[in-house]
Amino acid sequence: MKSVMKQTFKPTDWRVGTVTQIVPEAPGIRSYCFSFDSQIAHYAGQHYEIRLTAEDGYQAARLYSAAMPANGTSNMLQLTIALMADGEVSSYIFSNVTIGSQLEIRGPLGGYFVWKPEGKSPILLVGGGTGIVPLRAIRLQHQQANASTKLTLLYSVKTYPYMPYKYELFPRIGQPASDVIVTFTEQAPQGWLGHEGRIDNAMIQSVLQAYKTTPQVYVCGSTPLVEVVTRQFVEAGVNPSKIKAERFGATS
Amino acid sequence: MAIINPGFKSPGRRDERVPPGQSVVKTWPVLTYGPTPRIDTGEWMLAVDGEVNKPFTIDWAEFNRLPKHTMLTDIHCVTRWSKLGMEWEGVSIDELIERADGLTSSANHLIAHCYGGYTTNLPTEDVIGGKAMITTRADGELLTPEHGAPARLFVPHLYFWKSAKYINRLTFTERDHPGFWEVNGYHNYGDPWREERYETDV
Repeated sequence: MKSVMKQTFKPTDWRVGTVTQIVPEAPGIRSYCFSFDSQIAHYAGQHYEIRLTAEDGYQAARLYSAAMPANGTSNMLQLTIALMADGEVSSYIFSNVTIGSQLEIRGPLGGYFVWKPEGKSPILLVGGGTGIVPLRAIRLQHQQANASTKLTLLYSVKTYPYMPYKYELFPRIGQPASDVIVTFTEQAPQGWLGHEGRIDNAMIQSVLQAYKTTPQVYVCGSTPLVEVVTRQFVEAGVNPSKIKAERFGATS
Repeated sequence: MAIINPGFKSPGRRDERVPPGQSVVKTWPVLTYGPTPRIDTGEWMLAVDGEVNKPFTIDWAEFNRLPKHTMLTDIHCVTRWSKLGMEWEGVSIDELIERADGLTSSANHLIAHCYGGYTTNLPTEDVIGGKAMITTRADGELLTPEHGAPARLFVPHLYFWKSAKYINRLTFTERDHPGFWEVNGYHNYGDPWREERYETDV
C-alpha cells in the first residue's frame, strides 16, 4: 500500500464524496458508493466518518466500516449503512440522500481491526448481522491479493432475506461460497442443510479444526454476540492476542 | 468550510455540557479491542511503580481499605457517544501516590498497564489533583467484566479509551510511551472539548 504514503491529505481532513450508487442489501441495510476528487486507499477493516451539517451549523457524525478494499488506484468508496431506530445520521441518509448527493467524509480511521495483504497468518472471520461489513472488506481484499493463506468466514444472520451481500456469500442459490459458513438464527431458507441457531462451541471447534495453525481471528457484531463468541474462542484454547474484536451497542 | 446537508435539522438547543460532535446515549456501549478479560478479585493486584519514591503492590482487600470517594460526572467516548451524570466510586490517584511516598521529580507521565496487555499514556498532571481515580463502581454497582471489572482507571475529562479497563499497574515515567490506541491511529492526548480523536486531529 505505498499509495497511502503518496496522499497529500490527512485521514482526518474532511473530503466531499458524491453518491454514485445506492445498493439495497437487506431490509434497513444499504450500501452507498461515493466518488471523490482524490484517491481512496485503506486497509480492509478501517472506518470512515460521515458528518452532516444543518443550516444552523449543528453537526453530527458517525463511523462506518469500509465495505470494500481500496488500494489507492481509484477514487471510489463503498460504505454499508444500517438504519438505526434513533439514528440521526442513518435516518437522514436513508430518507434524504440520493444519487448525486454530497456528503462530508473523512478516513481511513483506526489501525487495529485491519487485515494487511502481507499478513502471513491464516484468517478466521466471525460476524453477526451488520458486523459482516468489515469482514466482507477483508474477504474481498484477501481474494484480490491472491493470498494463499486460508480464510474462512463464519456468519450468523437472522434469515436469508436479512443477509447483506447475498450474491457474494451465496454465489449459487441455496449454497454458500466454499470459504463461507452461515448459520441462520431465526429462519433458514427451505431445504437448508447448514447450521441453524446461534454460533456455539461445536461450530467454533469444527471451524478451528480445519486450520493447521491457529488463525488470526476477527470477530465483529453486536456486543452480546462478540462477548459470547470471543469467550468461546478463548475457551477453545485460542490465545486472546490472536482475537481482534469490534463490538457495537450496549451489553443488553 | 462545511457543506450544508439540505433537510438535516438540528435536534434543538444544544446541551452545553456535551462536547462537540458527541451524541448522548442512555445505554452504555462496550468498546474493547479483543476478548473481555475475566479477572477474579482473588488474583487482582495493583502495582504503583516507576518514578515514585516507594513502589508498592496491593491486593483487592487492601485496595478496598483505602479511602474512597465519588465523582458525579459525564463520560465521552471517541466513537461519538457521551453518557451523562454517572456516579463513579474509587480511590483517587493522589491517594495512591501518597501511599507511594510521592512522585519523583521525573514523573512526567503515567503509563497505565492492564490485564490482557492494554496500555494507555497520560500526562501526570492529568491524573493528580482529584482529576482521576481507580474506580470499582459505576452508579452504585460493581463494574461488570465488559466495563472493566474489577477496576479501571478513570480520567473522565479525556476520551474514555484513556480510562483503561482491567487496570493492573500504574507506572510513572520520565518519558512518554504512547499506548495501544495511541499507536493505532488515535490522538496522544484525547481532549473531547478540542475533538482530539485521531492522531492527525490538531
